[in-house]
Amino acid sequence: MMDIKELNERIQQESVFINALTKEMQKVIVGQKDMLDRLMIALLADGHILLEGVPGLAKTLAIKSLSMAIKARFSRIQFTPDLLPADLIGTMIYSQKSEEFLVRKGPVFANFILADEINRAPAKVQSALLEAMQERQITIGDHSFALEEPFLVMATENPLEQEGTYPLPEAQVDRFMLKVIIGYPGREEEKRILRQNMQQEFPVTSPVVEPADIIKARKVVRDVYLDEKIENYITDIVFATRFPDQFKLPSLSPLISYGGSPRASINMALASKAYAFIRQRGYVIPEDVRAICHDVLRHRIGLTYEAEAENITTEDIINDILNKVEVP
Amino acid sequence: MRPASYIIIGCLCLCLFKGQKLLAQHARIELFPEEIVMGQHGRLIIEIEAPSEGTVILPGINDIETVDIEMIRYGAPDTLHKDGQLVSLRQNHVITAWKEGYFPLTPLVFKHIAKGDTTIFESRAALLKVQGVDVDMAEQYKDIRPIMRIPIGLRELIPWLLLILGLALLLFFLFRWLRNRKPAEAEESIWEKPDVPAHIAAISSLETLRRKQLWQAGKTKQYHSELTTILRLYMHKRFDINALEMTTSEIMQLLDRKLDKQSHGVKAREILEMADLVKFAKHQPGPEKHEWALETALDFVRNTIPAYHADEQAGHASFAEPLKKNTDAG
Repeated sequence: MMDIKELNERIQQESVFINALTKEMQKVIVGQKDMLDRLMIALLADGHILLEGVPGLAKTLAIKSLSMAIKARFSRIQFTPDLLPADLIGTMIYSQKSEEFLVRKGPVFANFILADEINRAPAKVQSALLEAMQERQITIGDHSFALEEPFLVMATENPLEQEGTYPLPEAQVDRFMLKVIIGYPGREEEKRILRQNMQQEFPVTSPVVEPADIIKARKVVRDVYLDEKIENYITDIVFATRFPDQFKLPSLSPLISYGGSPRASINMALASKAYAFIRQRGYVIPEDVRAICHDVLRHRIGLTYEAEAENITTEDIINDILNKVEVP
Repeated sequence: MRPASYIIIGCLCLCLFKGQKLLAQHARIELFPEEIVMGQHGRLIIEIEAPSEGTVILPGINDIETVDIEMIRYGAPDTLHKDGQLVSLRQNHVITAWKEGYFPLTPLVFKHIAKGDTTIFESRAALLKVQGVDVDMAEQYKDIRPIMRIPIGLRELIPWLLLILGLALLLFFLFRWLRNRKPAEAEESIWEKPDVPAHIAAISSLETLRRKQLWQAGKTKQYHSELTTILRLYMHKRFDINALEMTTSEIMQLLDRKLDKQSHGVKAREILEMADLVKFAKHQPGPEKHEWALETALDFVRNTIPAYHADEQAGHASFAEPLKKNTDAG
């Protein structure tokens, strides 16, 4: 086991690029600090991110800027009801010249994917993407292709216009490490956005990091020290979503139809480590867990009809749990 | 001798052998008693003697039962005697009859099968006499007898008495166990007592922690965990904040507002932050830091005693003074 002091020093050296990356992204994105932080967490913890927010909140710009700052390949896929899995992963095309089938790779073969309005495509297309996210490889015909690292999918869901959409099934939503809800910018931020867009030239992100640096940083993130007390804290939070009675939260029992899966615990631990790394720390503290807890759990808790009838959201449930589970 | 003579002698031997075999199979039935009252159980005893080699097929229920004689229990065959030549079997059936009169039991048929040869033999017939019940028509009709109650004896009571005794012993030992562990709980539950002010509970718990000598025993993490738990419990009671469910930064954010960023608030932050390092980052502070943390925690508690309690202290013999002496001694 590495010494914490040594690890701290190593992390302070290795995480220098985070500041540069954030600074670069903030050149084009005004505000939305939480979204940028969560993007970094997903990137460093090797996860994927589901964004929910109304149109025009710089979701596309954020991931595009991130890919430019990392000098990585970026693809944007607009999910529509008539999209087919082959449009996403690619297909075999017959070449008359060579008289054989050739593989035509789809847009999923990139480092950063923006799956815009993922809930507008039917289940088979969603499954194709989610399988790629999980397996990190694509099979076209007889050939399997490993996806390039780093591979990050940022899917967006529009909370408006829900008619004719295909909501992601629970098992598939669970594959996203984080679900981030984006709100409107503040008044001052809005004014800054306005000014920025009125300029002659829109700022452009310059590459500051190589994809190899991200892969290296991911290894360091895994080394961040997570004490048993923090493990217990994470387990308690996840268990409280499953058995609220055991945590003196009997009022939540009729509101929760299912709690967080073991993937919730794993992702909470990984995201906490990534958050600690971003804060240039070699160990996780309860603050890190609480910071990412909502984003890890909000799509992993099922609400009952009773909760929906009473307009209770998963946010309320997570808040109640955090206010009841003892911090180590 | 002529060949015809051999044939005659052979036939005679065969007849003798066959006759011996016939003589060896024998069945006997006996009714006991031969005379029963209507509905009374009587016994039908069947005894068979047959060569031990082979199988004897006994009459079944349907062979014995008649329209008037009912089989109550079909007795299993019991071997009375067996040697190389003969086997003796006995069956003890229970029969009854529900009509008055004489009822014949026809001869029962038995089979002996040996080496593919089947020999059939019969018992003798028997006669069962069934007497009716004399009914006194002059007397009045009587009701059905109620269920007979058997008086409860010691044998029935003993298991219950043992069970009660066992439960009593179990309760006794449970009570003793709970009484013995009570002192350990009493210290922890000082926070539960509503009449004990938060600062008294905190100082008492901090002194108990000092006496435990945890960091001296190398249990640094446990020492700082308990120290911060006491401090957070105190903050919860004293400042009405859910400090146990809050992180250090959240606690301090609230406490800064309540204490208006006083110096002892800053000290409390230092204690909590150092404890966080010990708890979550394997930090090993020097011995003087452990003592400093406890002393600072005591100071924080003493400096944040509510005014009305502080006045009480000034009026009476202070609890803080002896503690101070303890601190000096420690």
